[in-house]
Amino acid sequence: MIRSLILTGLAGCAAAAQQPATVDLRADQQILYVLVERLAKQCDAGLIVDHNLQDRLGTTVTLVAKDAPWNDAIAMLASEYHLTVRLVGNRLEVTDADTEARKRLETRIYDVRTMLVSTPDFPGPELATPAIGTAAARYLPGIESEALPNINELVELVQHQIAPSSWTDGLAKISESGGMLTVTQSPEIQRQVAGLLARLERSAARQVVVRCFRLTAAPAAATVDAATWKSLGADLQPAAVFVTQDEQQNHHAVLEQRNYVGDLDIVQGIYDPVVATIARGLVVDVQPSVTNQGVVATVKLAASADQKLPTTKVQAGDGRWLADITLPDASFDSAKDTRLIPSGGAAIYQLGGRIYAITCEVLDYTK
Amino acid sequence: MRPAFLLLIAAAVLPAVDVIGDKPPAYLKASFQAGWRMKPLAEVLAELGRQIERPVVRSNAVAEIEGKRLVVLVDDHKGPLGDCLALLERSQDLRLTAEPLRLRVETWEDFRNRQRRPVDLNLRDYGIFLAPKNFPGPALGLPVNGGGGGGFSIFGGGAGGAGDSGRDPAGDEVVKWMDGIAGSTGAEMRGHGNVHLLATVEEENALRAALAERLARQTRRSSWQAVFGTLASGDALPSGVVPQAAAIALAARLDRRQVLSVQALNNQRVSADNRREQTQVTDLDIVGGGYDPRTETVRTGRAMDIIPRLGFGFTQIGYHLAWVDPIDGAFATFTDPGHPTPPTAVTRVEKAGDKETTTTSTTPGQSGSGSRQTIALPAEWNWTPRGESWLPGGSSLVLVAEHPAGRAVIILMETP
Repeated sequence: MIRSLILTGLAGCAAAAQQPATVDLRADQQILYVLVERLAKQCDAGLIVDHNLQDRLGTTVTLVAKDAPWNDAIAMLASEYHLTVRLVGNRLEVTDADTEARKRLETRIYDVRTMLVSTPDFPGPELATPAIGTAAARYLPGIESEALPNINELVELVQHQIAPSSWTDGLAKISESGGMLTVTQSPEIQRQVAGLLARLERSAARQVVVRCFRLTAAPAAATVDAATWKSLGADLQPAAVFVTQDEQQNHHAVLEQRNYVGDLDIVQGIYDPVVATIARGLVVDVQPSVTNQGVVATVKLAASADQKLPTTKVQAGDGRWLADITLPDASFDSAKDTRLIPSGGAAIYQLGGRIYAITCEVLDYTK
Repeated sequence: MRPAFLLLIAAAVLPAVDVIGDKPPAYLKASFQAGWRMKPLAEVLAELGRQIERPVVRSNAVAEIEGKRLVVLVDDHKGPLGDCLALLERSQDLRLTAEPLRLRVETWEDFRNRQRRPVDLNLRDYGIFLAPKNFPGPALGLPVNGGGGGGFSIFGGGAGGAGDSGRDPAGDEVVKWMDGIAGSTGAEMRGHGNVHLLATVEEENALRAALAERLARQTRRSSWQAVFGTLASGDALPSGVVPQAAAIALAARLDRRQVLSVQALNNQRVSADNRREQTQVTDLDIVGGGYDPRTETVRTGRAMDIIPRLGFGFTQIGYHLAWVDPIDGAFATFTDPGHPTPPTAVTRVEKAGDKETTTTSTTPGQSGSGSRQTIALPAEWNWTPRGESWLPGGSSLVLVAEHPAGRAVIILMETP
């Protein structure tokens, strides 16, 4: 079978249909077909009408529009009767707007896996001297979010937000498989779908850069505004920088971990060394909530202030030296609270003689 | 007043009806002028039959609708009948086939069913079942069992939740997806990813195009570098999510610089590391009345474990980075104080003439020797940042920590 193309060539200058500047659209209780045929005559054109307009062409209309500008007349027919009217060659073509769109359906695939990832919380370690025989400050596994993103909700959102009436005709389709959306729609709607998905991604991408500074002088307030922080922290370099998403708990932890012999047990009459691990360092654990007034930050701050590891000799009953054990002497700064940190400002923590500042830089890609 | 402008269609391309035979039937070139104003399709087809002097064969579906459907097609001058048939086909949503001895008129569905032929698709060619392996990073730091809590491996799902790069879709899911593309094709999955279906050429092309696009999405990949280094305390540095150029400039300023690089398929977990594994005696157990050395392997070095997910304008990257440096550790020595030990030997003795019954004889324990045992007490500097960050195109992640040398910096950046 051969499917060929026929070039019709130039539409014939002498007999060419012409689009008039204005048209006579007067009708008094006449069917729409009469009006459309009159429009074709005013263009000196033939006429072709899509079959699915058959019922609509029987609609009785009354119009008072003698010298209606062409564009206004076409727009009126489109809005009132959902007709697409255009002059193509020597014919006036009248089609259904939806049918026209359906003829141009195309299938595209959108990889939406970035929007289907749950955001786990990553709580920071506790910084403290562990009881002998118990676990030291240790990193914890992530805590998966209970509310996992659902691709079906994304499908519903697309159908609700983009041309809602266009999905019910059985030709336009949206389906999901393997974290990808397969969408069959007109190019215009495909562009809208791509735009919506990109907007959703930008919205999901809101994140917060958390910085922790060590200060030498403290302001009186627990939180300072942007102007005050600018004067205080202008030349400071951060002691810690990490990034977390809006509402996600994440942390920074730098630890110096050291094994030591903290005790001796007597097992089968022999001294059994008990090895433990002690840590010192800085832990900043923040869960930010971005609001219009600033970042509401739930902060857990812990820092080693001092740590000594003196040893004690253990001797046998006869005075013989058996081993040294270490008896840690550590001090920590620690605070757990929630602060509203103004945009560009900082939360100030005075802990003993030491001062810490925490800032939250919001990265919002929707603005 | 006539129009402000004249519409001239330079070369309107009109799809012609299907043709059977070596060349189009002559009747397609015959001059014809349609004048069908709300005329039933049945009458239109009858008129066409008279015009071409051949039978017009309707499919059953067309026969059912031809009495009810009205045609509006009015030509203002004569033209080739083929053009008129093409317009009729388009406006009536029918499929016309011009054959030498007849004109066939069908609905699109009739035409599709008639044109469908068996098609075999090997879905493996399109990566439908591609599920690249994930490669979590190694454990660095003091062993977890020793109470140290380093242990990179404890974050089994830490660098990106589920931690799988994709799953093998079920056969029925694939068939459903394909039917969504090409309509109900009767697709069946049989062994090794082969799908057998009935499809027209157009449907097969649409399916292959969709499969190819899906494969292109599936095999998108990105290359990443983690740059580890230090900077003096007072030196200013950009941090957080920074432009790539700033990250590259910062990387060039770092001391003690080490680089790890990987490439990942979209949504695949990959890792790289540079580590030292040192096994030491780190504890003593008491067994049989004496010291039994216990060894552990302490891993230090640098590691990266990432899952890049490529989005529309961002990469969402799940990361777990590790930087563990050994620092001055210590040693502890223990002296066995000496004491009676439990029996150390058991000997089975058969009674004379009785091989069924035995008694045991034990060797008395020995006094402790007062020997010395030394264990290592390792120490380390440990930084293992992790998270799920969004990186807009052309930006990098810069993380900062305090370090004995000043500031420790890790830069995570995409590379060409």
